[in-house]
Amino acid sequence: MEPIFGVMSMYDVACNDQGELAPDLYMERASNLGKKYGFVPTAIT
Amino acid sequence: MKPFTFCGGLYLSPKSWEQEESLKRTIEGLEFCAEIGSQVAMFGPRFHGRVAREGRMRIAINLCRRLADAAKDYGLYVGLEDYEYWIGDDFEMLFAYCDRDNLGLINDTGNWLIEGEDPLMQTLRFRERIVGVHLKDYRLEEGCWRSVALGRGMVDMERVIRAMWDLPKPYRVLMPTETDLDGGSEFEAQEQSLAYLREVVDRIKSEKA
Repeated sequence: MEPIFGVMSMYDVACNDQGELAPDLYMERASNLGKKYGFVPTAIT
Repeated sequence: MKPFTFCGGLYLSPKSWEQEESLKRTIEGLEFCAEIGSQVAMFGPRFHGRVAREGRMRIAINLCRRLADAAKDYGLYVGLEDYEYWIGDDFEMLFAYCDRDNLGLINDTGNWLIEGEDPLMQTLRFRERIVGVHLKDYRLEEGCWRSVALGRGMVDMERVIRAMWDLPKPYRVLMPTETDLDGGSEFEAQEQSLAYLREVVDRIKSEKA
């Protein structure tokens, strides 16, 4: 079957642009990126 | 949102109680994976300095078999990622001796490079065993493998993706992009990866239409 492509958010190491841990922000931005390119957001925990 | 979840790790220790404890915790992790709707639970091995290569394999076969059996009760596949420790021949031996249909490979496309293997060849070799994927690319710079956006490293990414297009699994295998940068913006790299992936996916789909 055709695969599902996604953008991975590594929740425990996700950082903001300043290199600080910010998993929720990362998840949100990664999800938005996935949607922009037509791929599903995914999470790794 | 699709979950892609770790269930734990198996400790390939010379002490049997440590092996058993790690198996118990990892089996407990399966329940969480099943509850949140995962199809595949990932796990990894933890090595011990006093256990030689043969011993690792013996212990891993015993623990992986039992983990796969427990996962079957939850309707889950369990996947072991190619990551740093084992090469392709080790995976082949592990899958053959474990002899469990729901034990598979998390095919990290970039990690094969670190292991000294060719990602495309290993993808083709283990195609039947792939239960999950990390799409990742690396470039060797001054002796270090540097994570880069897809298509900008040494993985023959389009061919690897083509090789995994119709995997023989009863579900649609999840293939998330992954970066692990030493500097710079993860978001920028992810955006470059997704733009590349969009081009490749559209090209493959138009050929198949």
